Amino acid sequence: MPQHLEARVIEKRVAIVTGASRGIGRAIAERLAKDGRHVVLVARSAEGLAATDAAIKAAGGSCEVRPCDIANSADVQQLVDGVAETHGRLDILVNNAGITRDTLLLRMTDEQWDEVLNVNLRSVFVACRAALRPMMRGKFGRIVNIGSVSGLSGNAGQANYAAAKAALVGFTKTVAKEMGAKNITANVVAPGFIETDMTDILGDAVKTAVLPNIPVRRFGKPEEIAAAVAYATSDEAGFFTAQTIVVDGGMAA
Amino acid sequence: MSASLSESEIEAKVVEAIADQLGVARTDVTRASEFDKICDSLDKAELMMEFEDLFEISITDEAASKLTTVADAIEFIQRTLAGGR
Repeated sequence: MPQHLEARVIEKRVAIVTGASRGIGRAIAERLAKDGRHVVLVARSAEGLAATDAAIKAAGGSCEVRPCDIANSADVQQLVDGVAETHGRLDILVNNAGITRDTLLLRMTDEQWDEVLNVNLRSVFVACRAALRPMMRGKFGRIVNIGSVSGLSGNAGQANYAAAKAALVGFTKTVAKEMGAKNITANVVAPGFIETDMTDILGDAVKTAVLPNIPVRRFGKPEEIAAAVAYATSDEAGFFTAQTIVVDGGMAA
Repeated sequence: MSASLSESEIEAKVVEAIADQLGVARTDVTRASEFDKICDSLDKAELMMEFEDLFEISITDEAASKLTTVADAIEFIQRTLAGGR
């Protein structure tokens, strides 16, 4: 029997979710656990993940905590290798972790640009590259990279963030084309305005200005993004690849 | 995997891995078979990965690019196993 099958020690599909301590990442982690996946919760600190960890376990789900600074490529590589080694498999990768360093382009520093591109784009490249090996061995892979309507439409104050999120689309389509024959799919889920800490910092004036542009007339819920990720990472989504699913209440259409 | 594998044992394992991977009969894979003719670049990359696992060796992209035929791969694996211990 091939080595990789002997090494498979867990029956559930194993999913890595980055940025799982709060907001959209937490909702995705909880949903995937509810759907029967063993979820590896990733964020910078273990403390930050404690609440997600407890919530999943209280609901009868299976998960573990793995702190990782995704700004550090070596750490990301080690994270993915470690998960594949421990469980003998890696089936699902959700690259959700991201940061914003918003300011008008006129005022944007090289550091603000580099930091956002490094965390939001480079880490995804490293994580996907590392994930392909265990996914090829398992003859199954579902990759979802969390984009943003900013990357599709642009957004004042987010030149760095929009550039990184737009780049994810081309990157993800390429992964899909390279790996299509190996039962590994790759898609982008691009949220619009969702009720999270990231959008809480927006002033009421901004929120009021945004609402008329959302046909559904409200901000989305993290669970509504998680539902799209749940489908894209499901076994039945094998023919669904190289797509960008926009979950934004109709805003960017 | 031990370093004491004979060349014919290595060959048998390599041929088996290729046949399994490509879904062809073992008799269709010979030492003279060229990777570029029997599989695409992704299959070749996956095969290199399979050899790495099978023989517990490391095959860099540069080394892999020089492996044209099945015989090249067998010789490379044999050399690596002999020299690496």
